Amino acid sequence: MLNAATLLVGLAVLAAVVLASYSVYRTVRRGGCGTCSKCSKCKDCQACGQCPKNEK
Amino acid sequence: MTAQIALIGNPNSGKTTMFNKLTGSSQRVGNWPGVTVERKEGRLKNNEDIVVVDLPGIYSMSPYSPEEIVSRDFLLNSKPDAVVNIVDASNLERNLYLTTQIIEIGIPTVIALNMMDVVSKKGVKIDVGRLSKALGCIIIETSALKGDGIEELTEAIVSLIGAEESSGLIYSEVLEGYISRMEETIQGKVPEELIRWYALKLLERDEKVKSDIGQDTWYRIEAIVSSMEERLDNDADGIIAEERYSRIEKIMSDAVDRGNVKIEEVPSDKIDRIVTSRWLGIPIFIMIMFAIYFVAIETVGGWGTNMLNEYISDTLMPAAKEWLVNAEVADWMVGLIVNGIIAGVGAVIGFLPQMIVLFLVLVLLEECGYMSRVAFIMDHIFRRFGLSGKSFISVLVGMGCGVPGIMASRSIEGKAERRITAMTVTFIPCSAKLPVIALIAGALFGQSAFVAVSVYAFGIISILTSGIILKKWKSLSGTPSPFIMELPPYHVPHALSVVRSTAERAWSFVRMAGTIVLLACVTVWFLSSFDWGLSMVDAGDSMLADMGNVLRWIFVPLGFGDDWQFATATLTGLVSKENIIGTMGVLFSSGGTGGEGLWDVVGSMLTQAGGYSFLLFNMMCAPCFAAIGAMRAELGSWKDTGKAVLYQCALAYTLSLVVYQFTTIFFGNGPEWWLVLAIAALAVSIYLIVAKEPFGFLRRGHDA
Repeated sequence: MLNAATLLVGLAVLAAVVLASYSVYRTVRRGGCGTCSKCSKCKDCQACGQCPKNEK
Repeated sequence: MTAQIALIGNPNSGKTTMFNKLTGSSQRVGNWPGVTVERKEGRLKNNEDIVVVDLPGIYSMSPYSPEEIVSRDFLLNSKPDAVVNIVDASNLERNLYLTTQIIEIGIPTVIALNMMDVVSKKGVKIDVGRLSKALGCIIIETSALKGDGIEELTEAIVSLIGAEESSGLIYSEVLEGYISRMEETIQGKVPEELIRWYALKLLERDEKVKSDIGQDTWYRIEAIVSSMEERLDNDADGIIAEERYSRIEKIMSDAVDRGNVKIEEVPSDKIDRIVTSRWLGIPIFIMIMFAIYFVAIETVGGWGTNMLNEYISDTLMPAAKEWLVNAEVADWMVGLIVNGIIAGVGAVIGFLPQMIVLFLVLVLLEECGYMSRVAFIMDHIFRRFGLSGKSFISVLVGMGCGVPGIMASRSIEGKAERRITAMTVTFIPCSAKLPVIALIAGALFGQSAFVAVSVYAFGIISILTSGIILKKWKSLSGTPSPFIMELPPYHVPHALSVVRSTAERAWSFVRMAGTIVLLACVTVWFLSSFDWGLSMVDAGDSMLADMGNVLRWIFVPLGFGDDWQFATATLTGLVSKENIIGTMGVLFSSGGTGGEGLWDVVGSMLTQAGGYSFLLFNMMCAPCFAAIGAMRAELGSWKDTGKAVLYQCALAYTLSLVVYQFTTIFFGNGPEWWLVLAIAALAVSIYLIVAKEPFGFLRRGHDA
């Protein structure tokens, strides 16, 4: 049986994992390289300025 | 209604800087050609209805490389509402060569006479009114870097929407006669508004344009072109180029006052005489690289990393553990948080100070103009190995991230050279691999800068050797492409721009640690804490240990196969190279009790030769999945991508095997049996380099 503290910490870890997964998913879906800080927001690849999905 | 504006100009004329000023974007700007290989879009800052498209730089409308085709096709097929032609006023004559061709397309054009501050400094005066009248379009004086003239340019762009089409230059009577004959021949076969442009391109013998016209008229077109060549006693494209330049010369003599400006050697030229000299160029480059890593890894950055690592392992981890235990969190959860997440992500974040210093120094070198010189210097060397300076541009971009490095290979004209570059560019360490270099340098070599410099040297040698070997493969043979690039004058970097670029790269590093490394650490912790029956066990009995033990045998000849952890780290590195560190952080964490740090553990488990071999293998083998995806896009098929990955892994294995086995003879416990394998691998490599047709047997086998 999990105590309340374990449950809370577990939920926080789960939230972090879900957020990180979503961020990676968005990056992969857009075809970016993943090193970019803005790729998932505006397709503006900071590593290079050449996000592969920039072409509309 | 949305209008579309195209930004076009010569490479390095300041287009991307102008794009950033007009749209408020922060696209990466570089002072070497090929930074923009695809078009980018943004909205005009003060008018959201206007979309600005930044096109790759081109010298003329007769494209030779893929990115030049992107620019030309966009102007012809997408028919933007207006064109902003960025003209480098300090190289006016050459830039106007493209301008004359743009205005022939007929799209309303405004010229941004950029870098006017440089012209003024030289004491040259340009009569903008006369120039504008001669070219038939609005001209705005700008300095994109300083932000001068941007408002006026924005107003001009807005006023241009729906304006009358621009008309081209009028050439000599003889040429105009041939243009008229060509126009009559292609009447009805091309869009009416583009007929003059098509006529001129056909007179230039532009093959791409010719293929757009029906074959039934080819013989008539050829007859006109041949007649023109005979009459004017020159090649077709030479005739048109001469005509354009003679018009440009006339315009220049009317509109440009060079005053009493004497052509004298400017400081940039004086520096370049030394920095790009045949004998000193490479030694200076090596010294600069050494200095960079001395500052970033060995001294300033190293001190920061040591402090941060100490803080994470001696303060943060014990404190987190204590807090969680006091809160009565279950032991396995404490393990996940402390030994999984904090140890793994912390191991990567610990290298942040070194990364910041490194990024800062590299940005400074880029911004001041030195990196462009490196491409120029390397062209001499790359050419001897069947590649060119353009391949080195990809390598330079690849130092940041392999994905854009692979994509930058698109600017290479020759198909074979382009494919070889895309296959080999990841041999140069990208920023994700830097923490691995820093770890091995710190754990086994006292943070020596030589480790990083030698890995870069191996990267360049591998690219060059691959150039020799792969060119012998029939489908990859060919001569190197011509490499033309302007060397921008040296200038003091803008503080704000340097800080912003460094901060962006550092943030990208942190972001990677917080996303993909975090996920990998949780996965690695789970696989290393449970067995196949999902019972919690020691790492040595875990699922990951079983997997690593299957894999580790492959690496025994390379000196890092005795422990399964290194095989596992290599495997997780395929997802992203930072994961190598994250995985080790999880597997080697001692629970935050202030015990051995990651460096100490790695230092005690690997010999110097084994550690260096581990480093080399991870630098050269298959890149991360994102880079493999980019390679697939450039090579065009999964089959070729598979071959490329196989080649990379084979090269990495051979290199690590040879380096480890030969080093062990002199610095280790004497020769191992695997030395026989190393000698055989070395012999095959030498054969592939020296033999004229090493892959001939495959063809003969196929023929039979």
